[in-house]
Amino acid sequence: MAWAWFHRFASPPWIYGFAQRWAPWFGGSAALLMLVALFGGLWLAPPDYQQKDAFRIVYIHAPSATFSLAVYTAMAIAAAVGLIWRMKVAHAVAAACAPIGAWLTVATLVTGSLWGKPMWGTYWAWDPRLTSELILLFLYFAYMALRAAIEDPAKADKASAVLAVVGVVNVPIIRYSVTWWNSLHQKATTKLLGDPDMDGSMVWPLLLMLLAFALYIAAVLLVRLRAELLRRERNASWIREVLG
Amino acid sequence: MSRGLDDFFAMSGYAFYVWWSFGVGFGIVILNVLLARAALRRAERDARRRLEMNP
Amino acid sequence: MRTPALTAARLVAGRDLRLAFRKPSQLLQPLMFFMIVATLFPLTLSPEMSRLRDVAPGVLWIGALLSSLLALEFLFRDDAVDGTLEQFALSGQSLTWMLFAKTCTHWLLAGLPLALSAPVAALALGVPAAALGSVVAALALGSLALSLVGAICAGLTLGARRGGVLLSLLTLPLAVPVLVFGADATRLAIAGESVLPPMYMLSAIVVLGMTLAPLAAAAAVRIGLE
Repeated sequence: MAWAWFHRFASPPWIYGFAQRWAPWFGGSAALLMLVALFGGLWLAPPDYQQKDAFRIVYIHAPSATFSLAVYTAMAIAAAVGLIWRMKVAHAVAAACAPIGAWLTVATLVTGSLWGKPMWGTYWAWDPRLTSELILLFLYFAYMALRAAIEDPAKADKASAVLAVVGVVNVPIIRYSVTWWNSLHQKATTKLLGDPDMDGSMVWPLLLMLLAFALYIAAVLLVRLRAELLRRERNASWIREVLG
Repeated sequence: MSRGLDDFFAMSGYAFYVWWSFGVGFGIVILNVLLARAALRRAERDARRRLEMNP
Repeated sequence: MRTPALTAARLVAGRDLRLAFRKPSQLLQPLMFFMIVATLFPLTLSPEMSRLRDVAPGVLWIGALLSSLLALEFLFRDDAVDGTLEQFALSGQSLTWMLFAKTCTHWLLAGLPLALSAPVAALALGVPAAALGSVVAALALGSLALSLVGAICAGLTLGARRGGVLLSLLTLPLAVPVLVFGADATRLAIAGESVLPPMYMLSAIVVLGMTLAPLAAAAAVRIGLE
């Protein structure tokens, strides 16, 4: 009974249908939540005592950063599932994650740089967190380059999967770099449990924006996944039905 | 705690950094959506062409 | 009776060493490259020793990285071309152990000579003599880490076209921690301070690499040979 559920996930036509149906809902709700979160963060929340209005960059920087890591982790997990259980859909998910994660990393680095200039006086510093986030961008590029360079699709799937798994060691480094080293970058202000260090009116827009980003990324991922499945399933009969 | 519209755009002097951050950040958000949709359209077009060639 | 894994590893290492000494030019090329890079920098930058000393860590380590990338080309290439690698994979022996042996031998042939000849380049860059020991030690560890990590990437690029550039692209992100700690150790050595903290980190990376990298490299090679 449980295996039937798992096997459905492995079936490309089922996943394709799921993606087609749910992507618009995820996308629409993401857009709505983003607007509400922006209103709360840019307008309602009071200026910070030290950073004044510059702190508001957190509402775009923190979600981008969090999800640049989360998407890489998802990519690595999908890659591992594809390698271990030989599921084509898992490899398709990993391939779909890469460009999304890469763009998020770019957004993180740019917004972080723009935040760093007024706060630390410099657009860039070779400190552990910034450097390891830059490494993350290089890893995304390496993953996509490896995929593009190998002609056999199955081989490309497997080789890039190994690379994704090897590179996941960078994710905890980024996450914990601010606690392990004396970093220029500040430590986390919200914890999973317990009171945050930020004022309540500043926290809820951040949490809402994180949720909005999660939905947005899910939506974009599902769209790219559909494209991947179409590319891979070449002559399967379900494609005929789906395209009509 | 609403402020004036002028304060909102000025962002206490940090306007350049704040608005460019949001511009680039959300620009990338929108770009991702457009690129994903373009990828899907391309894949659908290629799949249709393949189906026509192998009926 | 099946040959024990360690014996197989020893045989592979011996074979690699003997083959390498038949083509000594292949060994010297990465070394020459390192020397050329290290001397090009003073030519193009200011020849003042104090200025050179500041950039010496960067020059030494970038030179070492580029030289390692060049040397990685000959880790698997000949064996992949003549089918030996395939035989290793099919032999029923532990591919992980054999690749571990190949990687360590590769380091003995490429990384260690580079570390041992680094004092020449270092002195040319204004590094004080007292720091040379630490420079050699850091480069020895760092080049070993680069060989281990590079083996994974070399395995992954076995089936790809234009593998050379791709190899560099793949190895670079994984090599950055080695570069960071290695250059830090060199900088501290030049300043006369304790190099222990970055050396500990380099050692940790090497240990992690020795235990996990050959596994990943074996997986990569099997995929590349399919």
